[in-house]
Amino acid sequence: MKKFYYILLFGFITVSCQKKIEFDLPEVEQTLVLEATVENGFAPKVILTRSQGYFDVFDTMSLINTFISDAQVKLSDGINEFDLDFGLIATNGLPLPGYTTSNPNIIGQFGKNYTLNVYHQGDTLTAKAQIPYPVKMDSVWFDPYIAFDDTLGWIKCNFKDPDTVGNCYRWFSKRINSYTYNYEAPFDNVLGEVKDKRFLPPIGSTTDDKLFNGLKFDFVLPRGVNGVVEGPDDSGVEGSFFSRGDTVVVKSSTTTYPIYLYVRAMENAAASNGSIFSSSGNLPYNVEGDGIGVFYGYGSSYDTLICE
Amino acid sequence: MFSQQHTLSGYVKDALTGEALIGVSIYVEKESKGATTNVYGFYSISLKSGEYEVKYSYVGYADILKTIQFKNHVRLNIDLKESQDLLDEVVIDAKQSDENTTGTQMGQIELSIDKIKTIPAFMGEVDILKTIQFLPGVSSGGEGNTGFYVRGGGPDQNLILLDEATVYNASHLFGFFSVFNADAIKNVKLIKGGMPSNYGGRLSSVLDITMKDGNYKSFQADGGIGLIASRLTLQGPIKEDTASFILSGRRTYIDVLAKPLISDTSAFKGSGYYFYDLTAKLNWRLSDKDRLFLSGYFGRDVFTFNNKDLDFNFNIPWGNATASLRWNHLFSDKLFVNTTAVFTDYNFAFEGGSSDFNFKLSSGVRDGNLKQDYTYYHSSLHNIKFGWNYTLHRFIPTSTEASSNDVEFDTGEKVKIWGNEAAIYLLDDWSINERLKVNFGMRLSMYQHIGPFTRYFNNENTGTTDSTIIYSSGKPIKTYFGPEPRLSARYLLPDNSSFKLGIAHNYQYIHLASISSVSLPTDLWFPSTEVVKPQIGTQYSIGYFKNFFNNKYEASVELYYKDLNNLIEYKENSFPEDNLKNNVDNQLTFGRGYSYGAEFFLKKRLGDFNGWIGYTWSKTMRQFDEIDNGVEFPAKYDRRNDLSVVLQYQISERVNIGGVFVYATGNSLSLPERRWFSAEENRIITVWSKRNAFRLDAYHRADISITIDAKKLNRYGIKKKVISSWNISVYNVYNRANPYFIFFDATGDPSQGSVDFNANQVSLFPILPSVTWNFKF
Repeated sequence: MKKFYYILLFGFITVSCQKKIEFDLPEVEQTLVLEATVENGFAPKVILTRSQGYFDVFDTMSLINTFISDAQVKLSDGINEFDLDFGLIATNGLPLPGYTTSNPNIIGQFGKNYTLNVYHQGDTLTAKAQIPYPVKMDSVWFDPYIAFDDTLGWIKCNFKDPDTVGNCYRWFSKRINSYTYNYEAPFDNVLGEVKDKRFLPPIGSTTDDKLFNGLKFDFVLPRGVNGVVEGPDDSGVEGSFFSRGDTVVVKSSTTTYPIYLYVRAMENAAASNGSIFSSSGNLPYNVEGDGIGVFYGYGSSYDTLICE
Repeated sequence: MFSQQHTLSGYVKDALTGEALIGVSIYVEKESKGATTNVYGFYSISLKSGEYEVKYSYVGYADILKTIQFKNHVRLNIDLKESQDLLDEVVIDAKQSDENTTGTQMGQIELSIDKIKTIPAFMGEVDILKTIQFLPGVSSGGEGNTGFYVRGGGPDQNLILLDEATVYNASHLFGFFSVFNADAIKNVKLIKGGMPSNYGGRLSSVLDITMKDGNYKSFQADGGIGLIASRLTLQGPIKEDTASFILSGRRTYIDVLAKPLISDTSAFKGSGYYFYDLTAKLNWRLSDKDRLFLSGYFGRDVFTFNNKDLDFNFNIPWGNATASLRWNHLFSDKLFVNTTAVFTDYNFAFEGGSSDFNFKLSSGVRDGNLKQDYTYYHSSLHNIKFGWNYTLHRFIPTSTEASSNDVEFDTGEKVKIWGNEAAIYLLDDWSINERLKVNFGMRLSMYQHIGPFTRYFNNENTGTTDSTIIYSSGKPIKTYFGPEPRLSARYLLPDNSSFKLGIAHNYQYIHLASISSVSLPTDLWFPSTEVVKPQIGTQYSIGYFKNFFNNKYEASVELYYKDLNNLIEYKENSFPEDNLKNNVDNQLTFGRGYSYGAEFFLKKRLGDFNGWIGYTWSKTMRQFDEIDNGVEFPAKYDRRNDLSVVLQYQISERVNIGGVFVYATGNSLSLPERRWFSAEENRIITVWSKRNAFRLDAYHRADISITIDAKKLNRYGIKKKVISSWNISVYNVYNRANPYFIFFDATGDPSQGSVDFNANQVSLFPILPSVTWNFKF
C-alpha cells in the first residue's frame, strides 16, 4: 500500500533544468556507526564502521578501511550476556567483516528482547531490539498482468492482522531460480546465474497496522530492489515485476515500531531523492550513545511459490 | 462664546464609472486641516462655522475646488474626473503626494492596480504578490515557493484579506501566480510595520485587498489573451448610479505550464495542470446612508497525473472560496460603521490509486466570521476607530480514506477541530499638534478550542495509543487571551521630512506547518490547542522619511527588530500518515526566533521616467530545543541582502517600457556532511549537517517588458470602441539558472568499483518570453 505513496513522492516533480554544483565542505570528525540484526533461526550479526565525509572518494578500498575490528561487543538476550567475536559474517549479501558468535544459545528466538553494548576507543553504544512472534501469510499467489501477456505480474498475499494494535511488518522476496537468457551489456553474461542472491525488500516494504488492525485482506508485493544496485531486469519493462516461471521465496517479518520508523524514513529518503519532497533530517536511529545506527529485530516466516 | 463645530462629509467617486475612490485628499488650507476618504470612499472633516475653500485631489485626477458656507453640517458628494494631462504621467501609487512623510502608519504601502500594469509581469500577468515582493522588507520564498515573507516572518504570518474575507492560500501552483485577478482589484494596502489595532490574528503583515465596485454608469469589458492564461472582466450598472456588478474570470492552459515540469524521458507523461479564478461582486447604494456589498471569490488548481502502464493515477485539487456581505451605515456625519459577514473555505486534497487500491488525503479550513468596524470622526484632532470581530473556525488538518478492492481501511473518524476566535479593539489617530501625530490603540483577542475533539496520548516506543480524552461538542478545552497594545507615531521635521516610530505586540492563533523543505499546498493549517500555544510577536521599528523636489522623490530608512515566540515546526521524520488516530499537534515541536534589519527605499513618483530602488539588510534566526540540541540556526528564508530595482519609462504616448532587477542572498540549507554504507540495505545513508548551516547561490534575475497601446482613433479619426494594448515581456532576461532546490545522489555500484557523490541544482524558470493582448470596451 505504501508503494503508491512513494511513487507519488518520487514522480511528482521531475524538472527540466538541472546542473551539477560543487560545495566546499569543511573537514568533520567521523562518527561510530552500528548496523546489527537479530532474527529467528540466525546468529546475531553486528557490523561496526566509521562514517566518511559525504563527498569523499568512495571505492572498495576506502570502504574496507571504515570497518572496525578492535571493538568490544556484548549481546544480551535478557537472560545471558554473550561476547561477540570479530570475523567474516554472512550478511544479507556479501560476507563482510563484523561480529558474531557460533554459540547456539544466542540463535534468535521468538519473543526475546536483546540488548547490544559496544565499546570502541572510548566510545560507547547501546541498542535494543526484539524478535516479535511471526504472523504467517494465509496465501501467496502470482497475479499476472494482461498488459504484459500474462508473462509479468506482481505477487499477492493474503493474511489476517492480529487484533492487538502495534504490529509492524516488513516484506522481502527472493527469486531462487536462474536467468534463462542474457540481457544487454553489461548484463550479457547472466545466463545460469541465480536471480536474487539475497532477500530484497521493495520500496514501501514496511508498515504498521494502524490502517488494518484486525482485518484480513489482500495486498500486492512488488519485486524487491537491491538497494542502489540495479540488476539486469530492474530498468525497463521487467522492473518491479516477477516473471512467469520464477520460484519466489516470500519472507514476511514482524518487527517493532522503531524499526518500522527507521525503514520508512530510509525508504522515503531513497524514493524522494531528487524531488521537492525530500527532507534533510537524519534517520530515526534506534542506537544511543556516541554514535548512530540501527539494530534490526525480525520475526520471520517464509512462503515459497512458483509464478504460474 | 464658542463657535460650533460642523461636519463636512460625503463620498468621492470616479465621475466616469462611479467607482468609490480610496485615499482622496480633502484639504482646507485656511485651517490647515485635511482628511482622506476611507476604503469605501467616505470622508468626514470637522470645521468651525465660516466660509472655506476645500480642495479635493487624487493622483491621476483633476483637482476640484469647492467654496462652502458652513453654518450647519454639510453633505457633499464629489465626482472626480481623470485628468487627461496627468494620465500621461505614469504614476505608481495612489497615496496623496506627501503621505510618505505625513502619514503615521509606518511600513505601509498602497498600490493602485490600474497604475501598476506596466511593471514587467511574470508571463504577462500582472500579479499583486509578485509586485509587493519588489518592495524592501518583503521577500519571496525563492523560485517556485508559495507565500511571501515580511521582515523575517513566516508565510502564515501575513493576514491576506479580499474585501474583508481571509484568504488562506493566496497562490496558485508553486507561487507562479497569486489568486488575485488584477482586473477586478481596485486597491492593495500592505502593512509591514506594526499594524494598527483594527487588524489582528497574524504577526507579520496585513495585505488588505479591495475589489472594484463595478462601473455604476456604463457597461465595460476588460480582458487579456495571453500565452499562459486568459482573463475577462465584465462590469456595469444594474441600476444606474445605484447598483452595479463586476464579474471576473481567468484560466490557464494545461500544456504550457505542465511541460517544463515533466522531462521527456520521464514515465509520467500524460499529466495536466490548470487553474481558474472567478470573482464576483454586487453593489447597491440603498440610500444616502446605507450601502450593501456582496463579493465572492472561487478558485481552483487541479493537477492530474495518469499512467496507464502502471495502472496508476492521482489528482490534486485545491483552492479557496470566499463570500462576504458588507453593509456600510452612516449613523451621522461623524459615525461610520461597516458590518461584515464572511464565509471562507480553503481545502486541499490528494487523491490517487489504481484499480485495486485507492486513497484520499484531504485538509482544509472553513470559517464563519462576523465583525463590525466603527469609525468616529470625532474632530480634526481625533479620528477614533473601534470594533469587534468573531470567527468560528473549523479545521480539518488532515483526513485520510483508503481502500483495497472492497476492504475499507480503518482510517478513523474525520478529524475536525473547532475554535472560537474573537477580538475587540479601540484606536485613536490623534494629531497632538502640528508636528506630532500618534496612532495608539489596544486590541484584546482570545482563542478558544472547543469540542468535539479527541485527545490522543500515544506511546513513544510502540506508536500505539495509551489513552484518549473525548470532549463533547461545544465543550471548551483550552482558552487563550491576548492583550495587544499598538503604537505608532510621526514627528514632522522641517524641510519635508519626518521621523516615525512603531511598537506592536501581536498574537496569532492559527498556524501553518510545512512538512517538506519547500512550501506547498500540502502545508497544513491548524489552530492553537492545549499543546500548541499562540504565536506571539513584538515588533519595534523606527524610520526617517523624506520627500524631495516637491514630492517628486520619496526616500526612507526603516530599522526594525522583531521577537517571535511559540514558533512551530514539524518534528523530524514526520509523515502524513502519522496523523491517523493521533493529533496533528503531537507531530510538532516549538521554539522561538528573532529578526532585525534595515530597509532603504528611494522612489521617483512622477514623470515619464520613474520607479524605485529598495534594499534590505536583514538577519532572521530560529531556535528550537528539539532541533540540533537547541543551537540557533538561520531560517530558510534568512536573506542577508535583498535588492530590488523597478524602472519604467514612457518612451512615447503609446509605448512604455519597464524593467526589473532583483538580487537576493541565497536561501540557507542543510547539506549532507557524512555518509555510511548499510550492508543490510545495500544503500548509502546520508548524515546531515546542522540545520541550514550552508547557503545556496545568490538569486538574481532581470525582467523586461514593453507595453504598446493601440491607436485610440481609427483611420477615419473616430475614437475606437475597443481600446487595446500589447504587452510583450521577458522573464529572466539573461537566463540565469536560479536554484529551486538541491538534491544529492550517488551513482555507481559499491560492490563493483567506485561511486561518485554529486550535488545537483534544479532550477525552474529559464528565460521565458510571453505576449498578452489586453483589451477594454
